[in-house]
Amino acid sequence: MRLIRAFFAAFAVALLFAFAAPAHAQLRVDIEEGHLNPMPIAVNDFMGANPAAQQVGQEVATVIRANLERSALFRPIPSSAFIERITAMEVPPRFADWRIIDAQALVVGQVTPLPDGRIRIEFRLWDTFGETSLTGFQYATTPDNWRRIAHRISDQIYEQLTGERGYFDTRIVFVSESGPRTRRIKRLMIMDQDGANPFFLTGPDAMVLTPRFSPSTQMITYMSFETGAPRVFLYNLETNRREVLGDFPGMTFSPRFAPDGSRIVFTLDMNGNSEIYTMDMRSRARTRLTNHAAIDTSPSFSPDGSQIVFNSDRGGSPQLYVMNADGSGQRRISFGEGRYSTPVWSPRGDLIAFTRQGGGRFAIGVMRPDGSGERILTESYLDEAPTWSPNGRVIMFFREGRGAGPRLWSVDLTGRNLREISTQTDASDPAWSPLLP
Amino acid sequence: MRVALPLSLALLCLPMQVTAQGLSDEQPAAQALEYRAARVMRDAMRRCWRMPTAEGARHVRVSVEFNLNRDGTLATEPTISVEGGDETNPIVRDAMESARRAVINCAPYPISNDPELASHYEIWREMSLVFMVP
Repeated sequence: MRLIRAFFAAFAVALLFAFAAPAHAQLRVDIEEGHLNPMPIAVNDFMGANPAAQQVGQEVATVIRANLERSALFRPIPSSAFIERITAMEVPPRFADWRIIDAQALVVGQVTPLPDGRIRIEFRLWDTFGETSLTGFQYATTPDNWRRIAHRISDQIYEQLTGERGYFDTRIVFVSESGPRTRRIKRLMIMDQDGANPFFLTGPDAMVLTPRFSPSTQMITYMSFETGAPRVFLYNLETNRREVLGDFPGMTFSPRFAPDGSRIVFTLDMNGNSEIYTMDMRSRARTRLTNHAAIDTSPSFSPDGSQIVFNSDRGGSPQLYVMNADGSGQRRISFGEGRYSTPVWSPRGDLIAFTRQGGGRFAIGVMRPDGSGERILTESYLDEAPTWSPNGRVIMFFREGRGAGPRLWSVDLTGRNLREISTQTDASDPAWSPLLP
Repeated sequence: MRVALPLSLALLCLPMQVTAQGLSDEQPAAQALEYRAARVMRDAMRRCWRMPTAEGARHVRVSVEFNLNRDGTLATEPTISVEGGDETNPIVRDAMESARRAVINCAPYPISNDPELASHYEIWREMSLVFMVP
């Protein structure tokens, strides 16, 4: 009898294992599909202790909203939809009120006048679903510097919510074009990445071309005809000083900085043969990297400084080539149809942007440094001269229509979010700065 | 010894018992229900998961574990872990955050709208969603 009872007890245990265990198993589901819609975000006008501070607070919020919206990764929610009215920085928001309007993140801030005439701008970024503060900073600055602070706050929000470095606190240098085509005036101009604060760096008398920002300093190199023959110049934005890179026997063009700013790589044309050289910025010693009867031009360093991509017609038509920084190991990487030019290495190192001409049209594309994975991002009558945002996510270039002047445009690395950048004059040859110090 | 023998016998008999009670037929049915529950979750995430946009997020697999109530609301706080990435890396952190936001944002899940799934709560009570950027 005891044996039978024990048997049934054991059987019950076995049944428990057989059925109860699967019943509590975790259901594992692989998720490989979501969406890429912009994140809804609520950016409140920053509060202010007096009307002047309130005015600055509104303008700061407007710039932040515009930056985030322009990235196409965020969708600022109109303030008319807000339910809660934020009245104090210290009090946590009523998260449910923000979730109702689908705000996934919430930005609050305030502007406070300081006794020394400066202002303090502070902000806090909230996760409305996690009900936590994600980040917050405060800056003391002069009242006229509010726009830069707005860009910095935009970068911090962008970084916190995407995991990537921002690119809003940056500037664009470009060639401002005006006048009739036969007597075109081309001047160097600089502006914030959103088109604000434009001003000329050079006068109307000498034509300038191919401005390039140093990836690590506030230096610009560009080509100018102000001494007659084309020469490469250096412009220090911190001191406003300019100087000729060097006095060479031939023409110099296509200058570009090494990633650490210690060298410049450029093209030197002597007796009709264009070769690529580097120049040490301190010693001014130059080193020849290419030695070929064909045209070698448009060099651009990889972000680690170990390689250079350039353009050469040594194969019969302009194509892209990569070489080691000492000139060794030269190899062709572009093999598609058309003529390839203006290669620029991405700050992330994983891609090279280029212009491709074929079939009467120009396209901006990207490919990996080994030439694989070529993708065309934009195409038109004339798209040319790509430049990367410092986080390697956005490419700016210039576009010219039939009979129309050139304008600046930007496109996301995925080929989406094509936008024109507003400039006062026609504009070409943009170059994106690193994040401002 | 008197207990150990019958226990062994019972455990040895277990496969026979399962077969005899027709579980081999029920197993596919359970799998079908699991498949349906998974489909509800995938549909929900298609709406709610804002995929990370950073290039580096492609190699990151984020696992989110949580329990559901019968009405599809969250019964527990999601527990998040990551495979193939350093949690201090901002890109990895963003991938984790985007998965967490999706799970919280999407609840309640319409899983119990399916009458058969509603009567098999045990199948979908404990969830593990593994997010991978394609």
